[in-house]
Amino acid sequence: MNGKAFQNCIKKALKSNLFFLLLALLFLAGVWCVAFFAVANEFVVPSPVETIKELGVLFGEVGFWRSLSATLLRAGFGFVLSFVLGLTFGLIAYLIPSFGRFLSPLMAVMRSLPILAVTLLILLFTTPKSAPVVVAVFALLPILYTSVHGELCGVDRKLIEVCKVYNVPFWARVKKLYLPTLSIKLLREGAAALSFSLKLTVSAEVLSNTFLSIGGMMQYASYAYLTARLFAFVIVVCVLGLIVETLGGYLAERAERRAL
Amino acid sequence: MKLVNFTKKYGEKTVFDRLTATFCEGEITCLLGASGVGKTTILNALAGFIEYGGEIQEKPAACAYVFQEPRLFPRLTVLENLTLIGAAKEDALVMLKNVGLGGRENDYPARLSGGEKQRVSLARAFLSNAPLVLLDEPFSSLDTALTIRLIELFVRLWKEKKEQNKTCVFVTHDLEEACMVADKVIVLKENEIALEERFTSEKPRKYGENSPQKERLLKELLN
Repeated sequence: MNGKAFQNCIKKALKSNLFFLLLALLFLAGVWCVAFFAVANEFVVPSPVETIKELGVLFGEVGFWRSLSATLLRAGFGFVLSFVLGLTFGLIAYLIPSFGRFLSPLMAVMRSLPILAVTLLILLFTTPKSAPVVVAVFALLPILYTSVHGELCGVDRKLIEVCKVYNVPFWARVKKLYLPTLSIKLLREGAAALSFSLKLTVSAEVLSNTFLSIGGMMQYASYAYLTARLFAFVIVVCVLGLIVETLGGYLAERAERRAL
Repeated sequence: MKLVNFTKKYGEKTVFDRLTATFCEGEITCLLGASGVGKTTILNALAGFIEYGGEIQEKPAACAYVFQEPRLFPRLTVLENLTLIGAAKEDALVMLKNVGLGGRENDYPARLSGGEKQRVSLARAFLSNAPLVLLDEPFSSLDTALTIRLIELFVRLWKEKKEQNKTCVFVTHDLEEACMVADKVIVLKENEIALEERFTSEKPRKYGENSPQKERLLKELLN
């Protein structure tokens, strides 16, 4: 490769998001290796090789896939519930501002609640299977509500006036004005919220020791000092979150590009 | 259509106190005056955007509004912007051709120039078939040559819809613009009508053309 071609290759790489993603992953792997050699104790920081081997073992277990499905189902259900509630409350608050003023402090309180404390409290009233879902709703609802309400309030007032002047039908307004504005933001925020829901669900499962769950399996691995297995679970959760967020970001970007 | 005892206050500031003005059917009435005199307030009251005192007699149920800025939906194509108000696709395509934008129906507003966007806005207003047409300084951000071309287009569209006997209220601060299109010019000054002038010659009049009405209007504006 000559000098100019190499320069072009570097320029192309610097423009690509994938390049920086790989760079960040390499950095994390580097930190892990340094920590592994510095601690020099497999029970505290397992080696990357050992963790990858453990990942292979996990993928071969039926129990892992059943637990993963159950966790994903809980995370998805928590997200969908929060999304529907956030969208409904956001819409009502936009249409009836006094309801919005009533909801605003409630959502602020929900936002400031410490999640771990909430999980422990919720466990008193619910079962270990449903607690992760309730925790996800508690944490995600204020985020999604604020996003929907903020976005609706931000819809161009001038275009709303145009709709009013020309008597644009209600459903046409929703479809052509409100939904395009909301959809881009909701795709992006929704993907981030789904990824967050997965993390919250796993955390709540760990605390509530849920049967048939990734969190429950992590809890067991922790008790049994299976650190490599624990790290493998963390990698699975991180990768799943990353995939969801990246996909959401990509779809939002596509929608934005189409809109412009 | 008539404003009777039209009163409007913004907080402590009184913009209009019992103003009376008439806008005739089939005519273009220009509201002329300096910034802040309340021209747009009258349009917004006619469009139903603001609360006011007094009454508006014989106000048509529907109106079309050409705003200062084109106000097109950025995520809709030119054609979708026109059909959104309930116009048939075929009519919208004919209208687009009529305003010189034939073949641009699938473009998004971001791909149009300022003048082209305002053409779409004019097309939308005339497609709506509303009996009242309101224009709020629609050409103020365009250069003189483009303004003249768009005024000529506006008058052509107006004449084509003559049988609909529309009422038009055209707000401007530009005397030349008013003299080109108006059947009647109302000069607003210190929140009341300072002068009314009627034009009888064929529209559109030439840019810069002199007339006794124009001289009186200019004198009133400079006074």
